[in-house]
Amino acid sequence: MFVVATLDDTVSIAPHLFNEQLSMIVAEELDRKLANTIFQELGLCICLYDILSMGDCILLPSDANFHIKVKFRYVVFRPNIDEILVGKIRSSSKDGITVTLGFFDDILIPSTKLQHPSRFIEAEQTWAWQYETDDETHDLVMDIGEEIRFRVVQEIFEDTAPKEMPNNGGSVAQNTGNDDDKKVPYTIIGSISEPGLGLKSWWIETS
Amino acid sequence: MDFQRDSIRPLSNYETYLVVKQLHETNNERENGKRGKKGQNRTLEHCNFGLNTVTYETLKYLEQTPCIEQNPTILRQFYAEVKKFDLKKVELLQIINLHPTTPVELQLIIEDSETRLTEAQSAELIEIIRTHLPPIGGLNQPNVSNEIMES
Repeated sequence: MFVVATLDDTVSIAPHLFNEQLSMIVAEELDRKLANTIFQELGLCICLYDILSMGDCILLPSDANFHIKVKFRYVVFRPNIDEILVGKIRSSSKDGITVTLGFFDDILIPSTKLQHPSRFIEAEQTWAWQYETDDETHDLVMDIGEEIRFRVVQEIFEDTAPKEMPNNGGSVAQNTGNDDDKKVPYTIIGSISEPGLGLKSWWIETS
Repeated sequence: MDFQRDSIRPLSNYETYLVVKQLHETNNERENGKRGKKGQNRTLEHCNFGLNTVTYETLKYLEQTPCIEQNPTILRQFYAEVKKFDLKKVELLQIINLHPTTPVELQLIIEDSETRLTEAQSAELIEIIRTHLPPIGGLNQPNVSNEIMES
């Protein structure tokens, strides 16, 4: 679920921090930049693991800050494909179920990847697995807040950096209005279509 | 800022738990200390909301998993016991993180489990997991829990 990755960066230290311990200030700056952010193609950055090396402090003309090149390792949330994870159901809609892990919310289990057969109960806005025993079909409802075990099937990284607007006179306001569907930088697509997956309560062994 | 693509190494939930817990505790100590100085609440200017949020949430998530009961001795013993099953590193990591208790869960984690493990071996593996990896709340068996207390 978690990985540690080596990164490089240049940290700028403002003069009012010069009397503090260098490693602490560098650590704080790195965490300020990276913690709780999505690094494209890497994952959700959690916290600093350690600092591997710090270069010399460099001064630039007309700039009072020190600049230091730092090589460090960061704890990142990046589940492997086909990994099994456990989360809680956040919401359901006709398209599928969204699952949350607390620190990461953008996990989607599309309706095609639910246990087969499942149906969407419009009145309660929840999905239910139509579990067939010998003579009857039971509706096993997937309520919000339930713990769910799923397999990671796909990860989608989207570039959400601001894009350059073409220089068109008055159409800028119109364009920003169209950005209603916010792009999510990191989405995980999951599946519960195998035996053992789905709500944890479905698979408790009664011995 | 860039990352070295071949430097990515997996971390078990237990290792992440240790890092996040230590960070959370130092943060709490630092903020309590700062509040004491001059009677003012100076914490907000230095507060790193992103870090605090994500470490708190990650800690809350990991505290619901069996990784809080693990320690290096337990993991080393477990690894020695399961070496004979010839499991891949990712499978071992998932077993340590998820603590499967039923054959169904094991099948999800182990690729091609029908060809690689017989039913007897599956049952043996589950028994090893049950005896060596403590669930949340600690192990019930008296002899193994004594071992943990000593280490």
